[in-house]
Amino acid sequence: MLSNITIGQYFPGNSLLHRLDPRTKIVVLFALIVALFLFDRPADYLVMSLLTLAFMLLSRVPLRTLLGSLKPLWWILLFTFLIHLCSTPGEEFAHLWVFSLTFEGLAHGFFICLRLVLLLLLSSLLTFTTSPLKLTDALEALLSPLKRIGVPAHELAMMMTIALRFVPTLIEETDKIMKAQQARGADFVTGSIVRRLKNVVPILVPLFISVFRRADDLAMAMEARCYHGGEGRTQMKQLHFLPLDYLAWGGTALLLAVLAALWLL
Amino acid sequence: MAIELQDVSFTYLPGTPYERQALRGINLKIQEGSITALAGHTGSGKSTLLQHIGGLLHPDRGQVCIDGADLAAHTKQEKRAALAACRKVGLVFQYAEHQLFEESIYEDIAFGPRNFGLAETDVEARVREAMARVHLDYDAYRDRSPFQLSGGQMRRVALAGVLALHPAYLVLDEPTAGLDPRGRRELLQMIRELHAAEGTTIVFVSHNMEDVFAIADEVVVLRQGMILLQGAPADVFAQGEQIAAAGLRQPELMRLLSALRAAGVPLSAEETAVRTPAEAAQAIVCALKEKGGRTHAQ
Amino acid sequence: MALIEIEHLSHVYHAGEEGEQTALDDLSLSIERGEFVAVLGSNGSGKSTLAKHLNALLLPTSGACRIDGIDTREEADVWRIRQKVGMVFQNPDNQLIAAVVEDDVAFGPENLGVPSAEIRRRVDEALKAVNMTEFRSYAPHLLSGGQKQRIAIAGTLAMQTEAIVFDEATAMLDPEGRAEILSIVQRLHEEQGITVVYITHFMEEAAAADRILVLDHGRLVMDAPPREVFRHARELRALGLEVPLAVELRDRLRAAGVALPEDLLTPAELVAALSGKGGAASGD
Repeated sequence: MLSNITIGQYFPGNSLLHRLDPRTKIVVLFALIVALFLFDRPADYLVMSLLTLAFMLLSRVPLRTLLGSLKPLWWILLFTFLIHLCSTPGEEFAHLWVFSLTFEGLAHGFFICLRLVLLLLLSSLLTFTTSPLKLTDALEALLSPLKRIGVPAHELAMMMTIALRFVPTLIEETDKIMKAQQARGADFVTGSIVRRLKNVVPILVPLFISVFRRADDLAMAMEARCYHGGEGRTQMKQLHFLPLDYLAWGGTALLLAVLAALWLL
Repeated sequence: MAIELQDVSFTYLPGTPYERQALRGINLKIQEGSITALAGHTGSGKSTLLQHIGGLLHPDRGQVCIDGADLAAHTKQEKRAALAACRKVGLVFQYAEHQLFEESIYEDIAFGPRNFGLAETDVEARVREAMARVHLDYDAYRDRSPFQLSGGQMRRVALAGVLALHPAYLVLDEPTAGLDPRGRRELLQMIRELHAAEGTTIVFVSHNMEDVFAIADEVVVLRQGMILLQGAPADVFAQGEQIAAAGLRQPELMRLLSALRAAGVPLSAEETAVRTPAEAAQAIVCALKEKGGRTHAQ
Repeated sequence: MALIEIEHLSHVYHAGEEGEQTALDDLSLSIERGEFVAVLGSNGSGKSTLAKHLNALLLPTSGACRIDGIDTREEADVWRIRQKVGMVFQNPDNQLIAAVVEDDVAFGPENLGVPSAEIRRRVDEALKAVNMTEFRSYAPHLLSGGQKQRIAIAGTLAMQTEAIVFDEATAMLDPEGRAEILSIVQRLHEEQGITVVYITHFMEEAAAADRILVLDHGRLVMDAPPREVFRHARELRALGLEVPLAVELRDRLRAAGVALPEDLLTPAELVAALSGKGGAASGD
């Protein structure tokens, strides 16, 4: 049944990374991504790779699951590598048709790909160890200082919450409508593209009507429960930093300082 | 000629953490011309079973045959036979009004017949007939938007959309869910009429035992993907403990009659055939007369 | 002062436009604190429109609706009204907002600006009151319809409302779900004194109330205790309603000459009457 599909790729657990405050994880991830782009010498890459590996082990998420998140990007990685291999000027070691393959290209391609892989692994670690709900709470908390310059932090978070709540329901509904139209002889699989697009109408119209009906009902239910925006609203679950979080903040700051110092030297 | 399920098993999302076995070795034969109810608690597998009969899901093990043709096709030749068999089954989903999409009632009902490749003149005849079956006046309603109708009327339009396919087997999932008493009574009446007029075989899923008791002549009670009880409604519902084990309740009329019997009203054995309040009243009057007569005789 | 006072209330949808439709027509009634009132009526009788007036989700076209003395048209007081009267709607899927049960129950008090610790306490209590504590960290889409409606009830309890309006809250549930909701509502009514307005088209549910209002085409046509209302089986049928099974049998047996009280209501009463008298009045 489609309804059992969950959003995101949260891998429930209780590891060190799971227990970190989601705000800490977002900020640290952000800092590490910046570091990945700023510091690009082989030694820097080594440090970052070791760090990522350490996080992967700490997360207790199975290695296969983690590496699985790279799968959809396999082609992009290969393509990036080939582009750099063929287009970087330098000492040529082979010639293919109009392309000259250089040692510099080899190295450059390798490091760019490594950077992409590390980037993906670190981001996946965040989503593997943080439930979408906690991510939403953290985003609202982190964005709230920007309310003053007009960023609708609360509204964005509320939208994410409602999306998280309704995506499974709507997937189930789509499944049901598809089957119902199939039972009336609709065919979504064969035929030309134009025909297939036309055949989507009997699914989309009922789905849209349903979404609007639900939105209408939901708006009324929210109003009945005194919802009037983020103004004056409190929260039952407040985020609290733990000593672990201070450790993570400190560690990240130290790492950035060391990398910056090495770079300046 | 019948719907036959042989040793049908089905598992949702096999090989994932969400794996769930919905049907476990179901053997069932639904005779042509019957009104069969599939009853069971939420999660008993009744809707999954219905989708197998409609050919929308195929069993992991076992087979589903309509008039002898297996719905799961492997070769090209089998595929044609399977499609033909599949088209004998008209499937009406729960809250069927939620699948309406056309601008007019006519167009919506015509969707199925057109998909089946019928000529436009035949389509019109089918729509006309289907609307008559669900008691909607053709001329008054054909050009109206289905979305301006009441919930009960919309459900009838959706039902007409399936009836226009001339199914030999009409399969309905919770046909009366969410309707008010009048809507519910009308819909059950329509199903009964259809069965009487066309001899259409009816299979329906319900958790409302009053509906089951009112129109079914065969009941299949499912529990955890297996058949727990099967037979005539009066016999099946008489097994109170089993019915409770399936998470169901006996029909109210039946409970009332057993309470009366327990309290000493001498209802005859024939009252197992009692299915309507009118019949019940008659049976009670007879019983009281007999008891009264006995009292006088003493 | 009654908790809910309605005076000459009319509601017209699309007033002055094409498709103008009068949903409520000069309705006057009042509901006291602690009452359990059922509202019956066929589709289009105006019962859902009435429900939405009690929570200021709709405002009168003419006439007045007052909740604890506050007129629903006072825009500044609308949040006070909604704190007094909670709503449980028909579709269980479309009224839960959060992706986790306990967060949803917290939604109301969070909107009211209640301090965190106090919300926690209220949420725990509300979940306990509807027997859903063990499901606190579930995602709503994994619950049954009846369970979702129990969460919706908990959501209003956490706001500490005095009254709860059920707008056909059991229409989409299976028989067990319906029985579950009704027994919880009865318990809340008895133990916590919560005022209940229960809109339904199931006669057995209405029979459990202290008082039944019957609406037809936006007008109040009956307002009496169940025993009195169900004496008028023929009138109810003419309105597109039904009567409980015991009442139907009562009328059929009376027509056949069996002596039964004309206000007999429940199956238990029917059994007692028939077995006790043993057919004294039958035949001959």
